[in-house]
Amino acid sequence: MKGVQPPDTVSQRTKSWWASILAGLVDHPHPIYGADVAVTFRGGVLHISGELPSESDRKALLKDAREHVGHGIDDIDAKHLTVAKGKERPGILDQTLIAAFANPDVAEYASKYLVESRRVEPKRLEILDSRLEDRARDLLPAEFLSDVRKAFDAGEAVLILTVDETAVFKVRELLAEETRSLWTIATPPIPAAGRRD
Amino acid sequence: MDDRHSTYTGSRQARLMAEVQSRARRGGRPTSAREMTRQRLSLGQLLRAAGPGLITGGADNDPAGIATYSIVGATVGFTMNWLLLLSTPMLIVIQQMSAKVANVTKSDLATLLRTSFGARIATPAVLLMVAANVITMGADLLAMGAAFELLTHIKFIFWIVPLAAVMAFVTIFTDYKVMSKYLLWLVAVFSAYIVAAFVARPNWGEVLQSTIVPQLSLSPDYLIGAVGLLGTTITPYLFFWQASGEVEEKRGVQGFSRRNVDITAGMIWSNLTAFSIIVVTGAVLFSHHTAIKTAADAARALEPVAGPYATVLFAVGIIGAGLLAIPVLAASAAFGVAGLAGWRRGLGRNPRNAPQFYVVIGLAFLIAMEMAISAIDPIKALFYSQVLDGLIAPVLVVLLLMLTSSRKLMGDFVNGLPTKVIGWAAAAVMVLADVALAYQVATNGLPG
Repeated sequence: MKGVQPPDTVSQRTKSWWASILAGLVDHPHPIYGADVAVTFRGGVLHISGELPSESDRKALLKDAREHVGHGIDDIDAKHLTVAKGKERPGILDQTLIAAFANPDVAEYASKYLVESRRVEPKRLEILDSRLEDRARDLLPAEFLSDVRKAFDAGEAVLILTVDETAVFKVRELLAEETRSLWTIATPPIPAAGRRD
Repeated sequence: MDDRHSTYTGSRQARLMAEVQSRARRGGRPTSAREMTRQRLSLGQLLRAAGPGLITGGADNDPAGIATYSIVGATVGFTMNWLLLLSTPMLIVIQQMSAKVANVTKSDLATLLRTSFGARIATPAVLLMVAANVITMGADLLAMGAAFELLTHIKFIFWIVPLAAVMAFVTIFTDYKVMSKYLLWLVAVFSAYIVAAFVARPNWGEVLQSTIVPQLSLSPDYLIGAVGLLGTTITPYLFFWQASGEVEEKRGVQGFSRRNVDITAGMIWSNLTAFSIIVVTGAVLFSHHTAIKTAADAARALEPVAGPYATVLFAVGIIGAGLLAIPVLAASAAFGVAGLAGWRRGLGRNPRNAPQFYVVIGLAFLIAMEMAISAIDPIKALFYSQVLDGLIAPVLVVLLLMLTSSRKLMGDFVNGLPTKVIGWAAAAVMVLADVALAYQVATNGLPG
């Protein structure tokens, strides 16, 4: 889930998030971590809690927070801001997610959101509509083609993305909850292509 | 693997997969996702993996479960021990399937039921589980009230509203998972039943025989006891809780070997406690023809080990088990409804972030509280809530088996033959018990 972001978009959104926090709008989801990070203000102290993917993410968020101390924040409490203790090793298995959207534009918007804002690093990402049904046959196990065909028959588009198995929980959650896909399904995990043992 | 491979025929992915697998075969490396995640655990690793399961296994026996096992022991003695032994591998396999399907599909159970079977099947299946959970919550609240009455001599009914309010607040506004780690120690008092089983000096020859040799009876008392015992052991809410827990913790498929050890240890420990409760109540209460009509009667079974403190020990255990189980029942119901509706969900989220999920939790507490206030007999309410679970469980077990036997959903992680055999046997045993009970009730009415 790490990766280089288009700095303008992400940093601008992060700046406006901090501005809204300082204005007391603590319910806004963080532009990168979304609902994984929660903030509250109590007596001038900004309490940050949640679970971040890595220590570097935690350090970066706390660095941002410290820059605002003295500008509306007296102190920071990050006791409950933790780093995910993932025991799974990336690079072993891959998994493909299929998400249906009302049309290709919405699917495009969702894919940009995942990659640019939420640091998802897909190994493959394609958006298909009914004109590209043959391509779906190349990308997906045969059992899932009927699901895709139903979406095409309804005039919908599908976003097909393959990611490392360790990231699938997060990506599926983002697709279902943040991008409001019509439905999202995961094909079973398979050995990662080009894995190194 | 070959079946699955054929689905990729002619595709670029097929060629890629074929190459990866052929290279793997040449190098003696694992050829399927399942093999790649299989781990051989050393003794030390096994013990470390079993640790958390032992703790959570202790928590699987909620007040309704303890009441059911106590009533079974007091009513029919040791004659159902064989059913508990038989249900242990079934429980392990079903919990492992719940964990596996969530980790492979990255979905909770309600979402999977909806996406795989459609709303027509998923909605009644989930709503039945929700109904059973809420009824069990009401019964558990009554049990906790009765436990407080044992300690304070203040009538149980006065404890219901404060208990429901405190637990609803804790579940909705605090980190329940952190708190549950401390509550588990309260439930540890139920290990006293294991000691009590020895102190009560049952006829071990009789206990062993009734555990190994099945004793069947078509009497209404026996059948309703069997359905209740199966319902409290193979409980529908546990399937949903297990699957939702895997999704919330984002565990994944790589740790399956450890997960299976964890689940196995927990379920064995849980059923060992249940076995001890039946042995103790069978030895102390059944042999003296003492029926369980109140919480004080049930507590009497601990007298051989705790003497005059039996009541306190029993009450503390029931309160701990209730504090631990009731939020889990409410959350499982909310996970089910939210999964059906596609709402945001998770105890790790705050109420503003998942409002509907927490509204369902609040509603579950309100309805359970109302039921607890209206109910008259706590012990009967506890027992019949588990009978209801026993009637619902086979439906969900069959749906779970269909999900985990689907190669489309599970790929390399599809159920093997032993899992299928044990899973279908569990469903068959539960259906048989349900049908026999329904026949008896239709012809003779409900037992008193």
